[in-house]
Amino acid sequence: MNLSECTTLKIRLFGILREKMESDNLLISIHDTSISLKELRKYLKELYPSLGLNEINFVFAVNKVICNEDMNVKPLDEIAIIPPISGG
Amino acid sequence: MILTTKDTIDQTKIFDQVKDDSCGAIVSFIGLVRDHNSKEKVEGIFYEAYDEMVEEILKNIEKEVFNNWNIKKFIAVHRTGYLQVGEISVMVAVSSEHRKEAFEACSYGIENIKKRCPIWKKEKTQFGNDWIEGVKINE
Repeated sequence: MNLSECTTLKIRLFGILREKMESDNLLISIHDTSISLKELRKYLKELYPSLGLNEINFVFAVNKVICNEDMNVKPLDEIAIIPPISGG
Repeated sequence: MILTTKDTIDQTKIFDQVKDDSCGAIVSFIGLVRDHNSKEKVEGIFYEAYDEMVEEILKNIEKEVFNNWNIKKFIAVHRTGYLQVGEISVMVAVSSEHRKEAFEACSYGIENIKKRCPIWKKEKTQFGNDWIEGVKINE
């Protein structure tokens, strides 16, 4: 698989994760047109150990909806990592 | 009216907006920045929200409230940005003909905002700034 076949996913970060990365987004290259959230979780943990994703109980939102991790995501999807919430 | 805002929440304005001549009851919940946590003094709280998603979830909560209770108006507003002690972080207000529906709908509103809205807070104390350990989102 050469680099021209890679696609890029943009992942929004909030709260403690945004602060750790000093960025509102992560850009991830994948060697396919889509990836399951389960695979993405594993990939992010390997790629960004400094995010500490093993230590927090996070979920993914896709297009503003919390999704089951069997779901596949594509470059145009709005993907966000949602760490534990504390509003109110 | 449902939204997140960087502006000060004006409780009087919200009261006027939720008030209706057909209603005999208004119930509201106001969340405030407290001056302490379980260990130390708190100077202020920074709130961050995934605004677009919060507004979608607030719309869902609003629909659920109107489907489940016979109420006239429902307002939910959550503040973002840095708030000092005593400032309003969240307000839910409901009007209805009789008090029972307004009490129940208001309680449902605030409980579901806390469980389902992607909002995070970081407390400022004399020892530094710490993100509050929250709960897994339930949506």
